[in-house]
Amino acid sequence: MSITYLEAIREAQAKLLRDDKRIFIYGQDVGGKRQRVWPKNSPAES
Amino acid sequence: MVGTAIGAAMEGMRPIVEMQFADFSSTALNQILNNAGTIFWRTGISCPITVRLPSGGTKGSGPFHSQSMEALYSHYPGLIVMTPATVEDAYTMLIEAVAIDDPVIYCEHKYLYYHLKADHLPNEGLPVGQARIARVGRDLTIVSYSAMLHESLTAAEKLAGEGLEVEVVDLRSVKPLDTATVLASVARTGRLLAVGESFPWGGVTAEVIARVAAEGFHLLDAAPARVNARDTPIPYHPNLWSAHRPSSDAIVAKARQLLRE
Repeated sequence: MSITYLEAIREAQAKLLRDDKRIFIYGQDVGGKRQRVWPKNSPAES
Repeated sequence: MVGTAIGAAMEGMRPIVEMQFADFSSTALNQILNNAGTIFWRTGISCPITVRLPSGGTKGSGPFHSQSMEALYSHYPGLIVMTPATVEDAYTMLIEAVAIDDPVIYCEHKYLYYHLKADHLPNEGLPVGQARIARVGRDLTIVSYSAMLHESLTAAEKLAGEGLEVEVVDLRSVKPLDTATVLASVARTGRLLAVGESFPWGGVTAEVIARVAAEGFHLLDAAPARVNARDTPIPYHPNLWSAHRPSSDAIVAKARQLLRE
């Protein structure tokens, strides 16, 4: 398995969202148009 | 966005705000610096927000999508400023950022998004505020962070071909800044070169040199030096951008100069 820096950020966010209901994420790039941190059907989009 | 996050954080949530480009966070300076950074000190109420800043330059990104803002945020009290340089740190430090009760500025470097790979993600990393020796050496200490860590490691590899052993320190977070690890390295090498991608006026490299000069002057065999980007807006053209940002060749040239002294 090989993980990029970007994927590491994505994985951290996914873990945070799974583990703690107090955490939420929003911002200009949520949805993945620019930096592509968010894959399609990610937790932030559902 | 940041104002809403501050309110939610004060009510017990743990918001992460994503800025798309670090450059755009300048529109939120009042809320980050004057509000988030001071709330605990004024009221005793924590403000655990994490602001993700996609930072630094890539080819063709130009002056509004390339800036490194870590020095600006480090200047103000009340904020933690993280600058992960590895895949492992990108993962563990973001998780740690959200767990911290203070506002955290998480500077993720866009150039590293696709240029770094790791085999697996760790369960835990070094504590925030602790630097890492990325390469061991005895002739010169290079202190760096974020994408410039990798230019520094490339420079160290080039200098190794000339028989020079360069120690490279990855700061990991620039605030808090791990002065003890930097001083310990300079004690081994006697020479300091600080490398950062941000503009040269003030900033992290200046702070590193100021601390070593103040607390470890007796350790130095030569005047400390630094390499930063040029003191102009960041150019759009890829060739100009490559000349504007610190390269491994520029670091090698400065290191050779320092080692001759």
